[in-house]
Amino acid sequence: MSNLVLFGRPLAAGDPLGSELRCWLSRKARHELRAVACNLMFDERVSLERENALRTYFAVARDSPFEGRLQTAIREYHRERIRTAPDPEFLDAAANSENLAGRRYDGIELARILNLNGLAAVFSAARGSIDSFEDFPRQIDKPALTASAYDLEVLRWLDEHLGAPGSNRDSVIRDVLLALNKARVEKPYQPAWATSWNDLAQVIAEGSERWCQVVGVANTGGTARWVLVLRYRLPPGCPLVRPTILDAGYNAYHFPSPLRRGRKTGHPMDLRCTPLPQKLRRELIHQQIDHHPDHWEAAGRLLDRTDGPLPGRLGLRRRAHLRLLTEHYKSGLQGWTERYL
Amino acid sequence: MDLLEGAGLPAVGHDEEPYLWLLRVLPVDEPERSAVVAKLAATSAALLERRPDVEPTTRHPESLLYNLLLLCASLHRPQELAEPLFAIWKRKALAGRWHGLDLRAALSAALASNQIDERLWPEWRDLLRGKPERFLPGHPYDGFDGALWMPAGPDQLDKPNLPVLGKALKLMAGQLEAIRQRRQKFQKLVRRVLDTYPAHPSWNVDLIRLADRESFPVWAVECLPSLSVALGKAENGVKGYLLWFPFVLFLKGVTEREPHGIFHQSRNLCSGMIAEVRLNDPLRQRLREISSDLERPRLDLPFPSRRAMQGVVIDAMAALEKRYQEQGRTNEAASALEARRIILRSPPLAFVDAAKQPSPAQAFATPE
Repeated sequence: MSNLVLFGRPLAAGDPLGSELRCWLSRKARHELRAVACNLMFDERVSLERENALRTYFAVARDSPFEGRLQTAIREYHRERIRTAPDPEFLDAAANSENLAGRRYDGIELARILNLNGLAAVFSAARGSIDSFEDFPRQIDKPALTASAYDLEVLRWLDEHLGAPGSNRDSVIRDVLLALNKARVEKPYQPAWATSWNDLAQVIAEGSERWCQVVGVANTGGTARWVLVLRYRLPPGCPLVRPTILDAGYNAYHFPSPLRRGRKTGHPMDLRCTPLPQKLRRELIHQQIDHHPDHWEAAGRLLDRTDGPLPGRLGLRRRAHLRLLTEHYKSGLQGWTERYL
Repeated sequence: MDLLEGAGLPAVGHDEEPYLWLLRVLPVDEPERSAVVAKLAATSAALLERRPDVEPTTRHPESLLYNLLLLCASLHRPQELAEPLFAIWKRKALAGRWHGLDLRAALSAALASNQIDERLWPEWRDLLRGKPERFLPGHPYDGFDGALWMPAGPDQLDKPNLPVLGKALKLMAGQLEAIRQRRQKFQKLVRRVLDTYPAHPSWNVDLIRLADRESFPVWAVECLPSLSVALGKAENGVKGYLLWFPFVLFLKGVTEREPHGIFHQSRNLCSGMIAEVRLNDPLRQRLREISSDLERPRLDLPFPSRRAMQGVVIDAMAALEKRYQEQGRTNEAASALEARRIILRSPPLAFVDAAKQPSPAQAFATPE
């Protein structure tokens, strides 16, 4: 590992950040650490400016029993500069110009998949103000509640309001989007991850687990989940951006895309294992916008309950994705060896 | 504190807050689970005692407080958490939001599930009444949560506080009065009470007695899980019951037509909707035969009005009459017919003072 790189740029000997990266790449490290290390090494689309920003967090991070300084730095950078920032750094024309998709993608139809179970915090906050969530379960509903028991309560609520005969889906979905729009004003939760509608449309008929596989979102919640699809265009002046590892945070399910002029989208890691995926799809991010019920209507009122795809099998999935990238890009992936996946 | 700020989370992206991940790794089996929960509660109490609401020590105090308070809300450990949480409430300094949630609402959840006595009743009562917020924001359902988990005292932590629950249900009935789905929503609240204290041995009786004591509105009484409730054991072949008005009408009719029935009505509850009666075995047998014919449609009724309930009961009595006729049981058929006629003539499904009966227009009025 003498040629250690960060964001495609060689690391100087003695760089403390390099020491941590080296630990993450060791064979004894957990697979997810190696995966994130690989992301950090090979995501060449992270600019020097953004790298320096990350380093400021690294400089002040302290060691904790639960994670090293680098993990803390990634987490803190993501929280402050991306997740909760009204003007997240991925929109910075100076620091992230390489990844702004540009006019070529103006007006493109996008698709987003919302995991409704994952919005429990938003719905809980809407209890007093939006009718549908008046009786949304709170964490206190059962004694010594396990998170899995709360997850089940949330699922039961969603089943009742979306799946039971006579349930008024239109009203609930309207209120879901209202709650989301309201929450983003109070506290941003960036970015919004999207694919192109054309890409998702190709798999719509295969069912909801396939939708989630294609956009690379594993079900980590431990219960089935309700997902809905939105189809929309961005308002004028809202740019599309190709995501980098810094926009995804500490996430082994993100996979960087090679630096290639003219190509302005990323590619989500398709999570299907059998058979392995054969096609790359587009992945873009944008800042949060208001969503409306007609975005759901336009998608064909797609709403379903699914158990998958389950997390895990990281090595298999990442290797499959790298092969697809290699076939597609042919070059520019030097060093993206499978060894570090 | 590191964990609550997100340190060490798995690499799946951070869509869920750290406290949820912490709860997910708790042991499932006892006694390990209780031991770990107690330890976590003690650690959380120590964090609360550092006064994070007034002396923040992290870069993201709102995120930490959100996760800490919701963790406390999930743990249900009043032994460790009641006093430090109450101290935060007393200081009234907590402010800020996370994920769109006012941190005072997170405190409300934590307080609700970690009470050791009734000191917070005024807060919950005001929320139940929909009064403008005191310190804790929220709405009547939040007040109901507080009442649901409020023990009478430190030695009653796992027992329902019946008087408070009665008041809370009455106040919620008031909040739901004008709502079209009031029956379904009230039934859900009652179910929550039962689900929260499943070991309580006498819910059916206690709910009727609470409804009587607190003067629940008629429609709310009609939402209770059972209006045909046995009281204790039979003595000398006779057993006590609390029975809904239509049951009483039917059984009285049977008694009048048969010499062997023992039916004694002692007092009325819930403004005459329920009667306390004593029945011998033949009448208990009739009650068992017809119980589900009336109880099920009562509980399944989606419409709010008294007229709707009257219609359900009339239909049920007509079906009973037909069934008994087909079986050749003329006494029971005649009793069902007579009961139906009485209910048609006098719309309130209750034993009422005739002079105080509402006009037909009032009786058939539906809520706005």
